Amino acid sequence: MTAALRQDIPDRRSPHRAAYRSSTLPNLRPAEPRRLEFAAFDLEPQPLATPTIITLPQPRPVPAWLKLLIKVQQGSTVMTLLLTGTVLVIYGWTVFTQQRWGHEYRRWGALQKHEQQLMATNEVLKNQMAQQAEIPKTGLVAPDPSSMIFLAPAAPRPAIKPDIEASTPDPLPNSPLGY
Amino acid sequence: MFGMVLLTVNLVRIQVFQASMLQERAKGQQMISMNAALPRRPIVDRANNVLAIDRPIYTLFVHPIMFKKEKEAIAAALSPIVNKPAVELLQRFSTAETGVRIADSLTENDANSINQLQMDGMDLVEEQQRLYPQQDLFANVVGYVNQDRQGQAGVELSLEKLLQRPKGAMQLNRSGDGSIIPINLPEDFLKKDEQRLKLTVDSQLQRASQSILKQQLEAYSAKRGAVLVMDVQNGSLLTMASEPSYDANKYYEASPESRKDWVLSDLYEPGSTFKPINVAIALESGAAQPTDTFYDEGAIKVGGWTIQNNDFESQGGRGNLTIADILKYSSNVGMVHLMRKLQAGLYYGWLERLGLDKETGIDLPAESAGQSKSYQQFTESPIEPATTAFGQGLSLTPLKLLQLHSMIANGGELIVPHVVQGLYSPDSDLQWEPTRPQPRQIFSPHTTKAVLKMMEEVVADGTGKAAQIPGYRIAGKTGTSQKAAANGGYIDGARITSFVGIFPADKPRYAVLAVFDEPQGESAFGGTVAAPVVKAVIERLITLQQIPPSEPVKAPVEAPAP
Repeated sequence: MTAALRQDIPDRRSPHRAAYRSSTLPNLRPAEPRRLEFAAFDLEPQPLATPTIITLPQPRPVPAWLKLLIKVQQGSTVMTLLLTGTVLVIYGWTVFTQQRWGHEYRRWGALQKHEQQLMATNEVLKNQMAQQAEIPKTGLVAPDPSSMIFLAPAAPRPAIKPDIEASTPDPLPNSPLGY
Repeated sequence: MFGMVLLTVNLVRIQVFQASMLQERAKGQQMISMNAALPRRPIVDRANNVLAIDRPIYTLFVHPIMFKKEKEAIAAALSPIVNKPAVELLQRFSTAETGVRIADSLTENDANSINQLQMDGMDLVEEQQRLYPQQDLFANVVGYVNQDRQGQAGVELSLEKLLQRPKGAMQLNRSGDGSIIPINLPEDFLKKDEQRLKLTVDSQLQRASQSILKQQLEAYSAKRGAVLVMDVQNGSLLTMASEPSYDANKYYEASPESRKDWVLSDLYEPGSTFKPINVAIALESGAAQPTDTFYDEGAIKVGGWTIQNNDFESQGGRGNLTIADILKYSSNVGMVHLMRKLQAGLYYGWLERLGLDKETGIDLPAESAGQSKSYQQFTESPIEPATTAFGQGLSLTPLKLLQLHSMIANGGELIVPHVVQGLYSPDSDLQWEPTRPQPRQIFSPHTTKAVLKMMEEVVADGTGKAAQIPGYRIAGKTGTSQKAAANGGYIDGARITSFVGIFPADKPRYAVLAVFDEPQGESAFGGTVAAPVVKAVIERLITLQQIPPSEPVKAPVEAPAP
């Protein structure tokens, strides 16, 4: 195929374009001896005088709209791959967050239960302690007004003005002269 | 190509034709209807101590058909947790294939232990059970709920609608492992309503009052007793202690009669504690002045009946008494003379204004209205106003009497007693308050001040001396009344002794009532049985509310040591 494309560029210099196009093989020099490499091309050794020319199907020029369509198809393939990837990621994220929600919801329910339990236990303990306090053996007595001290608040005192004069800082000791 | 056509055909078949059927099936598997009955609201007191709270309990059902281990092993594992012998459990296992009830009222810890055993065939059903941590302390105020979680007494009954919170059925989607899918959740799914019902009662004061009450009940072998403390400015009750009480957690162990709160439902003739009210009526209606005097003969005859003072046998007549003296000595005859100055019809009108035959309107159930005679009876026979003058011949509940005395204390307003403050959030923000009727002004502050001064003398110098507290001014009145028999007349030897104290007398804040039913002994009077109780309760009130004394307390003069 590559060879065909190369044929696209006609040699304008040559008036005989047809003759140019028909030959696909490199020009053989008449004096060259026949080589065995040509057997790899699956060609029968031809007499040099008039090689038969096989015309390969001409690729038609690709029209613009087709080029566009091909580009669209390539683009859409990329898009599809991207979208599929995104869908999978989002789906995975949805499942993940829902699982986490469920997990945290269960935790929330357990915490609520604990709170309720703590409140109830706390109150029962308070009641038990209060009941024990009433037993005379514990030596606890109810507070008595005669043991209460009521203090009348002192009259507001005038605000103490701070000493504005800053005392001079201590003079730096003289550096010893002896050293 | 052919495969694609087949796929498309199948797609159309599933999406279009079988769509509704498949959707139904999916819904059937995923959708559950959760009927979340939220736990009942907790009830707290003035200081946010919890008085009633729900606690989860579990009932254990087993399905022996699902047992993977040996029945004996399972019975042995369950036996220490449910506190039943393994033999009995084995027996129960063999009664049915599924749904065998093993134990109920299992605590959360027990349920966790059973879950940790990881045995098949265990089914724990969760229920909420009401717990009353204070047991018998607030049984008459808070009440209790029965097996069906319906309030039967107290605030649990009267505010049933507020306390119950049925959330209603919710449609939820459930995934394969049973957890909820957070799609299409109702809006308030996560909103937690943590409001609690706050009462006006004070746990510390109630506990102190109850122990004081119990002590005095035992000392005088009385049948029952009650102590009530009311804030006279707004009618909130700080204490409603009544003995005998019952443990609200085990309400079924108490007889139905003892579950009634007699403070609200039982009527009694107030006796002398009603005298200050009569004095207020007389002064307000202008029939008498505070400086008037009346002659006390000690015993008089009215309409063929003899009326005499309590201490007539020992004291005889006292002669001329001021109204303050009448209250001080609690003279029945003096009161009869005083109230005679008021026309019977007018007197009856005043009694009606006090609402004696109406309920106080407290937010507790089963309140009784008082009883009084009809207008005709009252005005036609002179004995009726005479006996009403010293508090017999009419009957009211202890709560009503306290309400009337609060009226004297707060300057003449008839307030509505209540125990409910409202619904509060856990941060103590008021969310809802019950609407209460406006207080009515019955007496003028001038009159009530005069009566209060007289009542102070009762404590300072009269029958209420046992209620004195050094440094504090207390106004009060003793009462010793005979108990009325069901079929008329009075029971011989059966008394109801009471004392009502208003404190502090210079700026009244609290009214305290102590009532004792049938205290035994010759010395059982209001001044000896009930007044010391009121004194002890007021002392506790002083320490709890930190009320400073009205007068400086004189230091006791100590005798020089020898």
